Amino acid sequence: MDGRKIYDLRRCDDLIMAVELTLPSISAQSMTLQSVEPITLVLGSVLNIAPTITTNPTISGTAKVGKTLTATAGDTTGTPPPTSTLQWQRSDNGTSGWSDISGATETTFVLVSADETKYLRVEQTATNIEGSVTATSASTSQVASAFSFLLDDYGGAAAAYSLRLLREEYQGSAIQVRRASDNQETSIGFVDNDLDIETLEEFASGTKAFVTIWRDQSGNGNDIEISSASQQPQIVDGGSTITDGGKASMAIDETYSRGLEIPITASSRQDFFQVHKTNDTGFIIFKDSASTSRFVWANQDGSTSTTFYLNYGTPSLFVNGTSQNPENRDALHSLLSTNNQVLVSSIGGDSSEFTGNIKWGYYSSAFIYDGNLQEIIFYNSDQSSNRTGIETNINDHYSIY
Amino acid sequence: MYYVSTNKEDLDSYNEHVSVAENYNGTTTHWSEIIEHPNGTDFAIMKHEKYDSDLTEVDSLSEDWFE
Repeated sequence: MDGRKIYDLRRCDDLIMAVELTLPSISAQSMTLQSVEPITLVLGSVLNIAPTITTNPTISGTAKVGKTLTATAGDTTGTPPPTSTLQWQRSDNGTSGWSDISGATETTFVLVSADETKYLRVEQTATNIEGSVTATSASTSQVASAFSFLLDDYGGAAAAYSLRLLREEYQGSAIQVRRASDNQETSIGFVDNDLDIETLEEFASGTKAFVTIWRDQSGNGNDIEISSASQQPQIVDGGSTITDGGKASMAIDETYSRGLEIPITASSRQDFFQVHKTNDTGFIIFKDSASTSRFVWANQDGSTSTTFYLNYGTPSLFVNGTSQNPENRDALHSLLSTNNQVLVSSIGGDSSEFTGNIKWGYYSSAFIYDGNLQEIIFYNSDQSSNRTGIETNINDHYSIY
Repeated sequence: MYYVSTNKEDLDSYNEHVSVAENYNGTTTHWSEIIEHPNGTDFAIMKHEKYDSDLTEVDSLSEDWFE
């Protein structure tokens, strides 16, 4: 029983220590440990351990053409420490058929048109001298088409008001708002090309907020300013942003409104597009602020009048992309006051006789707009050839029809 | 609800009173616009729910105010 050597291997960092023990003589009678030989430590060579990936890689960013995705490699173990590489992969359905995207091995990946409607993931490979192992991230959502900015595709607007971003290079805010709690005002911009609702609701702090300025995104500086508190459209109620179709919207109450004063110049050609939602009994879209004898698109429940416009050229009307020739104001009312979002396109107007500003949504007490409003775009130029493209852009955003 | 008067200054005073009390700032400069009747002698202003006045109060303005 004596003199035998045993070895106890113990790991210390990357080294393996072999502890050599020589067993002492043991008394057959007492089985008492008599003595212990000196311990000899032998530093062994590095023990290599194959790599493992202990957490899967992840992807952050918006899955939309033109946006950048960022991959974060998962944690690894192994001896020596493995190095990781990334490979972006594309799939038609997000579950199978993943194929490598050539050259896409960086931590960031800019989505291109080839990625539209596809799904992406990233594959991480961890390698050391013992081998390699792979792990994949979860799939992105289906890659959406690139955001198309209306004024980048169809420029030259005389004025453009919206609660979404209309021009990629526009640096201003969307609106300025006043909160009811203390009448303080602040500007609200955009997040992901839509109104920054989080900031808006944080500012409103559970109460109401009203629009004091609706910014013109055309670059012409034709902001709509409403200095009378009682006439300002409401955009937050009870701390929540007013919405139509899931998009921010502003409410115009006929009890308080005197319309919106739009300071654009008169023009012998005026085309415009707007998105509204109302079940009003009658309103005009706008008039000359200096005269009641110049207006366009008068509509009224039960009215047989055929005077839809006056001293405004001979505009054509399209509702939700379809040409309309209503027989009277009652028929037009049925088209415009559906209590759903409506896209109105007016092509071929002539405001050259206007001597005042455009007075939107107000004619008299019988014609005050009562409802919600999300967007108005004015062109002082012929947009007949662009009409369907503009309508498509608007409908792509609001999903009206 | 509206306050009506033949004295526009009375309505201006009410407007000023509300505006100061509410401490409007920024773009908002006043409570409401003074509405002038086409007859040129009558005026009206929207009543603020928090501020009463001894002025004559009416529920609404008839259409002739806006013609």
